[in-house]
Amino acid sequence: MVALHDEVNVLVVGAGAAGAAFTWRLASMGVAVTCLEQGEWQTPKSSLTDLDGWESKRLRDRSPNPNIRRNAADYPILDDTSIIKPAIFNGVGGSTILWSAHTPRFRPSDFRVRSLDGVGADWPISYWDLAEYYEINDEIMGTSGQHGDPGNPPRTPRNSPPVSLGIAGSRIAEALNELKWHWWPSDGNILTTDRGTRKACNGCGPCEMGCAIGARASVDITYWPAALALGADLRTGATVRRVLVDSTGRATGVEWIDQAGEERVTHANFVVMACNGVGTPRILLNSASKEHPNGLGNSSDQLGRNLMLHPIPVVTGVFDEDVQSWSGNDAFALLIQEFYENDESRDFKRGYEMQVTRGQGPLVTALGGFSHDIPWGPGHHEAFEKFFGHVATVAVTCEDLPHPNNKVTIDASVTDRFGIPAARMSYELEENSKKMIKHGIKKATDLLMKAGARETHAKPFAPGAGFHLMGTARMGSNPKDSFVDQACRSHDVSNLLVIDGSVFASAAAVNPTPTLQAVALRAADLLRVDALV
Amino acid sequence: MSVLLDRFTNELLPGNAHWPSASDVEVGGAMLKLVESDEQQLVLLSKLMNFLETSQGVPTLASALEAHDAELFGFAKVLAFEAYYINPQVREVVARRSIYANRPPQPAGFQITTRKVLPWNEDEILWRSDGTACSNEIMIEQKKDLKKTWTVEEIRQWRL
Repeated sequence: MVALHDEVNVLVVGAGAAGAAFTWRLASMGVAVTCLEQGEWQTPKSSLTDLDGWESKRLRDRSPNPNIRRNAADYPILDDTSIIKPAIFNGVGGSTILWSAHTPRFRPSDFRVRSLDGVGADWPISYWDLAEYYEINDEIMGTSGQHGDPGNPPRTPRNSPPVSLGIAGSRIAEALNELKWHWWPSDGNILTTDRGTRKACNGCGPCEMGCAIGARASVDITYWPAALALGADLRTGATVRRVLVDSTGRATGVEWIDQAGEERVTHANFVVMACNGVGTPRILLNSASKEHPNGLGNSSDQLGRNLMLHPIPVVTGVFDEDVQSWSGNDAFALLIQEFYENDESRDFKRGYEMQVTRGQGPLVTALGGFSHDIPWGPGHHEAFEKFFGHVATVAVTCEDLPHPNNKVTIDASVTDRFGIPAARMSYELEENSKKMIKHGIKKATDLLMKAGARETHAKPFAPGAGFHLMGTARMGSNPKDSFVDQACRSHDVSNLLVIDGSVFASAAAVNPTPTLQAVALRAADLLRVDALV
Repeated sequence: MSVLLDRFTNELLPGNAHWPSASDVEVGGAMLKLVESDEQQLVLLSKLMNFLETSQGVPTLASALEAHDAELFGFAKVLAFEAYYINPQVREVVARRSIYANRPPQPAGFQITTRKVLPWNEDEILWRSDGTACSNEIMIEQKKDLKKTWTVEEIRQWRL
């Protein structure tokens, strides 16, 4: 079969958080840009949170795990070699469709972990290079919060006030004030006041199924409408098989398959990968050629390596008071960074943040929520009543250090519906993480008890929390130990860019999305001159 | 076969004065419906049925399965709980026994009860300098007035 050919200027692969920001920025500067997305558009109804059986949908159609959800656009990710399972979404909006929209920023020290603390790898850029892009991104996404946090560099006033603390959050905030631990109302891409067609959050709970009223941002309702209005070209149902190169090793475009199963080739001056920390290395490793035998641009052997996921220990406190734990945005109300920076008196390097989670309905509670255990058989109903509505969970996001054996590879023994080899995640906890987890559980337990919890239940990590996928095509100055340079350009293939979480040299201890969007916006600015045709 | 599935699910979710048993709300049938379009789960359900068929002489089917095949038991437990807790009658009991409103999260959402709590009065900058002059200067400036309203223009000047 002869493939259909066309030609574009800048070709972005992936319409998620990074791809949307990058495309919008380039389009706003008059650059012709096309994006290929293997999934489809979502609608407000797609969240399914208005159905009686909504909690069942959370386990199935809206599961964050692509191996469970198995939508047509999902590709298999073999995860039996990883203790943390993948949590992504494929469609316009990418994983922002199923995210919690918690948007803390990296701190300045996070970009200098090797220089300051002797671990991991430094970024070739600093917080100060990204600061203005964080601001641009916050504005486009719509951000609630409160400026003035002494725990972070200054930022502008937020678009709307912080999300409500709720009863449990209030208790925990009061306990933090007594303990004199740092806390601050979290920044989040969840509006608490109406903004255009987006409504204020109504506290419904399951943000991670999608937001029917647009209070919680996803890039399909923020960046994409703006990018399309500027003339950007977005093609859905486009599954990229591989990036093509010429005899000099330069990228010439991509080979992809359309909704009808037709093979297509799109030639481009620049190819920009934005498929997340698993999807990007999968395609680039699948793009091995005579010129690039170990995967495209992989002379450093860093492609796929250094996978960082954020181990997230969770501690649930049970309160006598009904704290209405089914209500409120589910993943955050306040941010605790008392143990964030490196402390040489501890037995581990770097640190962690804590956040208070909620939003658990009856079924999720019965299944054990984040970390409690409800028995089956006699005693089940009594235990359910003890937990339901009475719990608050502190999630501890631990900084993950890069390790070459934590990685994404390809495994041709399993393929997607088009015969493209699957990704394989291999991930284990390092000693540093284990020590940090122990410390975090102790502090989270102390906090919950101080807040009045009658008992606590802890788990060393949330096994389903593979939503922060970082490091697998990392940024650096040295082509021998990094994949892209400070402008997100491949060291080996100058017209190939990677702009998603894959480029993170360090993981910090916060959610990565605003940082990867800031990186993408900056990369667009740096590409602009070369890409104007 | 449905008798065995009822027996198994009632062991997991027995009834009491307030709560219906699994069979009272036909959890077995709901389990079959939940997996009917999922080939992988249909295989697991078939395995479960085979186990129940061959184990009907044991005193407790659930305990026997948990000991024999923890993974299959985990699947069956989650599926039974799913079928039970999405049942309208059970949701009604949840609402009666708590202050939860028996309706989907949208479109009405939930009123959030809260208290106004302000962060304790910190006067120390808690982030660490990265060692650059820019970092040190901003830290000094921020400390002068933690509540200052910064503009994007000012922040743009920080670029190294």
